[in-house]
Amino acid sequence: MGGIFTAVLDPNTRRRLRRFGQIKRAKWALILLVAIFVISLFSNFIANDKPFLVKANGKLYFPVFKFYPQSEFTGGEVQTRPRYKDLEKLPLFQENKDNWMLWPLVRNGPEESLEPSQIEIDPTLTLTFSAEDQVATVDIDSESVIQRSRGAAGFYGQSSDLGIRRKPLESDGVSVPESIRGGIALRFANKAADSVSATNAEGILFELDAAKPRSRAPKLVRLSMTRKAGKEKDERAVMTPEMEFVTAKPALWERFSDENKARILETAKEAMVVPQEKLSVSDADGKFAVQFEKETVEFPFRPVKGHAFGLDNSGRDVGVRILYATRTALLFGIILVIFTYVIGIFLGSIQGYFGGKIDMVGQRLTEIWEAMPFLLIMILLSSIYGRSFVLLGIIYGIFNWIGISYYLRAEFLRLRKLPFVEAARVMGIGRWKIMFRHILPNALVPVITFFPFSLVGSIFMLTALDYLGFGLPPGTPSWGNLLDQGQVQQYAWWLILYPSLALFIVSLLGIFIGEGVRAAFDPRTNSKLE
Amino acid sequence: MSDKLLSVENLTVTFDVEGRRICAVDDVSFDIRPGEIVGLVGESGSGKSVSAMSTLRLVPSPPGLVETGKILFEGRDILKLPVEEMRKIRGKEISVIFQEPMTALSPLHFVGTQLAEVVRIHDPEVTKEAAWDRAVEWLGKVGIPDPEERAKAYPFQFSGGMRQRVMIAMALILQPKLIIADEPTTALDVTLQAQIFDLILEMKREDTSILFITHDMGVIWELADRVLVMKDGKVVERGDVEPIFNNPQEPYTQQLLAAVPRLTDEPIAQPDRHEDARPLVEVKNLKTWFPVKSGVFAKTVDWIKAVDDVSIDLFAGECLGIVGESGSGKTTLGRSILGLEESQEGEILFEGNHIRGLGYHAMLPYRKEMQMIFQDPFSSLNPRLTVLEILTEGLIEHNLLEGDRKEVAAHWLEEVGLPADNMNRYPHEFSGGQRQRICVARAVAPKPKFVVCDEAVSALDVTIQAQVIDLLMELRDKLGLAYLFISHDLSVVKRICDRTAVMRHGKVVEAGQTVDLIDNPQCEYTRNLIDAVPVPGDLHKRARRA
Repeated sequence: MGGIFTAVLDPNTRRRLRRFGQIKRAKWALILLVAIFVISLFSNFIANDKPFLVKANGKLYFPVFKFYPQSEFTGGEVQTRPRYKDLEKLPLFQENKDNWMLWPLVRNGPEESLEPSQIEIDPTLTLTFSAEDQVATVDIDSESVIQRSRGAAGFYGQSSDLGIRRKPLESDGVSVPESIRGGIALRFANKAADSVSATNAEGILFELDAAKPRSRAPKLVRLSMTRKAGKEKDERAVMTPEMEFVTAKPALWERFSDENKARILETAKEAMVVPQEKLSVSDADGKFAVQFEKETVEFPFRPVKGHAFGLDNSGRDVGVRILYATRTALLFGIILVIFTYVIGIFLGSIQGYFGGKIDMVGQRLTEIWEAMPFLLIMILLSSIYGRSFVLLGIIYGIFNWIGISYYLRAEFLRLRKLPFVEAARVMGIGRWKIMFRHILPNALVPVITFFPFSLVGSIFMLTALDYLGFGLPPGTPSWGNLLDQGQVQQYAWWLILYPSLALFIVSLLGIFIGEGVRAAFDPRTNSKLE
Repeated sequence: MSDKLLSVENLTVTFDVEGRRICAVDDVSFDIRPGEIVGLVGESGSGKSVSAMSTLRLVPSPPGLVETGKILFEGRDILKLPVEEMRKIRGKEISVIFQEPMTALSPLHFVGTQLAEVVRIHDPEVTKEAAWDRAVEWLGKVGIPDPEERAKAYPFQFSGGMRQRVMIAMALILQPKLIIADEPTTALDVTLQAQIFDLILEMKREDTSILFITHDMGVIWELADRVLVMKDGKVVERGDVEPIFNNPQEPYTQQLLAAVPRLTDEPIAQPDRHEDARPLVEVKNLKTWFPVKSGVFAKTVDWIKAVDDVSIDLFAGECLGIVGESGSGKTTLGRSILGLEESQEGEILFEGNHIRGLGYHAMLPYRKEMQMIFQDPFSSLNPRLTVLEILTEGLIEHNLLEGDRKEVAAHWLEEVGLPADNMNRYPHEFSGGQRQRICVARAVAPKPKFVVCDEAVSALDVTIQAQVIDLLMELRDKLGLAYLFISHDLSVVKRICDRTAVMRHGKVVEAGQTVDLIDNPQCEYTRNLIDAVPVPGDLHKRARRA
């Protein structure tokens, strides 16, 4: 492999590097991608639910690198991983003034599921008052006394239907139109009658259904009373957790009876904790619905203070997970590409150098191999053996070496006939040495120019597999996994936008670099003729 | 003005090389009159091609840039003409014959079509049929037999010489006033070269001016009226051919003339050989045939008999010449002896041991005894290895390294006349001649007994060529090497080879002492080879110009 090493140092390569440096866009893309990669390598120190350093009881601890059981800090028998954030707040820890913790920039880990209570959201309650149609049914006896009613209390200034029982229909300012009175009389007289409707002076609509004579006269007659909602607009009021109105009390408020006010406040108190159904309040001049709205934390949760990228469906910080996923994507992208290239270079070199039957048989086998569906086999094997990095690497490697092997084979076929290779043969240099010391360093152009594109390809593949649920082990932070969650909860735009953006940026940078490398290797594109 | 077709005044062209401006043509002025052949001679890199291409504005820019100067063609300043005007001049008024006829023709179209296209581009009113007729006519004029049939052939169906004729037809078909011939015969055999010269002289008689670029003084002598000698971008000497050849003023011109190998040169003394000595290499009835395969199952339908029943002997310390046209099988013979090509029949003995068809491992002990020097010094050195690695790799492989690696490399570099501190540099930092010296050093470093020189000096400029030949001879005397010297250049062979074999179509047609062979060739083919060699000073050959 010494040949490859010298290839890096030789002046021809240095000239290409210089030419690459002159292509501004590619150069900055490379700097940016390397920066992203390096930053993501230090993810553990940027965002973590474990501190770098803990000084406790006169000793130094390095929780980022090492596991310490809870008992180490609190005594007792608990052998589980301590929750450092809670630990920091323990009186036991705070008592000693020498105890301290050094935290990373972001105090959230990739696997840390937050409790809804840990999310800071708007604590106020919004009450919305809106007028409603008041609809009631009343059963009266032949004396026009209310025997049963539903929802009619408001018409009589009462708060409960019990309050108007045994009251005459016409009382407390409710008058009955003449036609309704006649209709009622007809029904008690057990005569056939058409349906009747009429509005009284207070705007209450009375309705009677059509009736037919029966064997005996009815004991009760049902009539319905309706009052349309007024034209008042909805009113809003905001309440602090201390049950005080932030804005001025709504104008409606004073119209409610004390009993109703108490009911509203009581429900509001409950709504601070648990979401409540809307409440109907009936009063003398109408019926009102009161809605209680308070945002509650349900995962996935939108971007919020302290979690600018939102939270996923297990309450994990999306920003932190994208950071860790970037590391996974780039690191494994590079490992996968190198792995495929090693296989591809080796097999392509052998076919190209030896040629003849080896090449012929090798090519046919390659073509058969190429026809195997990668995704299907990947899905099959990962459902048998479970998901793991090693399995993914091996399967990706043994299926994706083919492309580069074709290029290497062609390069070797060309180069093996060049005089300097023949000179080495005449010299009696070993065949493997000729292949890997003489030919390979001269055949690396396709390898280098394709590398950025292959890297982007493998990152896409990794993301796709994770999205389908056949990639990395469950729980590993990855872009594909976030996208998968986003597909289930489609309103959660932050689960789609941010990972897609990360994927887009990384692949765009990769392609810019690839273009630059290609141009650096082929300077002819720069000169022109008339 | 009227007597000057083209006049170049104070032309300076620079190239941008990695941010630095390199001066390729430095204040060059010259004129060409109608019906005149002007030779532009110089070594590679002297700026002769760039000067000529500037007259057509064919220098790629960037990196090239015409800094100053005027190029007047029939009174018009070419450098200031709009692109449209320029396009009319190219091909119609001035045309070019390039060095490499293979790459200058499109492989996908009939040659006739390509010729007719040239006609129609410059004169769209000509009908397709008329253009085709003109193409056929010109193919006939440049000596393509049966032009009507051959016009419907693809370039690869022509031999190298025929392709060059097609190129010449393409340059002539619009009857331009000036033709720039950029080393049009360098890639051709001497016999073909002679035929092309006849064509060029024919053009001159029809009052066409020719700017002929070459590195070969012999060619200038045979063709040119006037000559410009260029060195490092400057014209160092100019004038009529005969005075300059007879009485060169500049040391550089003298050097160029002295370096030209001539058939009249005295042979370098050969070491004596014992009569009863056993040959170092014996080749008996060697056949190297290449199968011509066809059909789905790649059945062998025919054979190309590259080496057909060849027998030669080579004694220790001897230099055996193999000459012939390209395609005569001389290179295949050398490669077969070294086992680079598989041969079908015959025997190859090295010091009495059979080495034909030996496998990789069985051949290993003989590898260090037999070496090869290739024609092209640019592709025969691995661009990724330093000179140190190139020189010592084989020694390490065969456990021949005596003492420190760097000392050994330094020793061999000095041996071939290069400074020892060059060993950490890469091949592309050297000139062609220096590279060939490195190739020589690599070949002789394992102290072989036998070296195949496959056109080892053909790609080099004449001055360098002479130096490398001297180096080869010096090393032979010092190390007792035997050379199989493969060349198409009889004058070189005569100078250094004791015995020579002439090859044609895979067979040895004539063999014997080189002196006898050249003075008294038995075979027509050998005689043609000898006659075709351009020789500066040969009055008979110059007389053909008239």
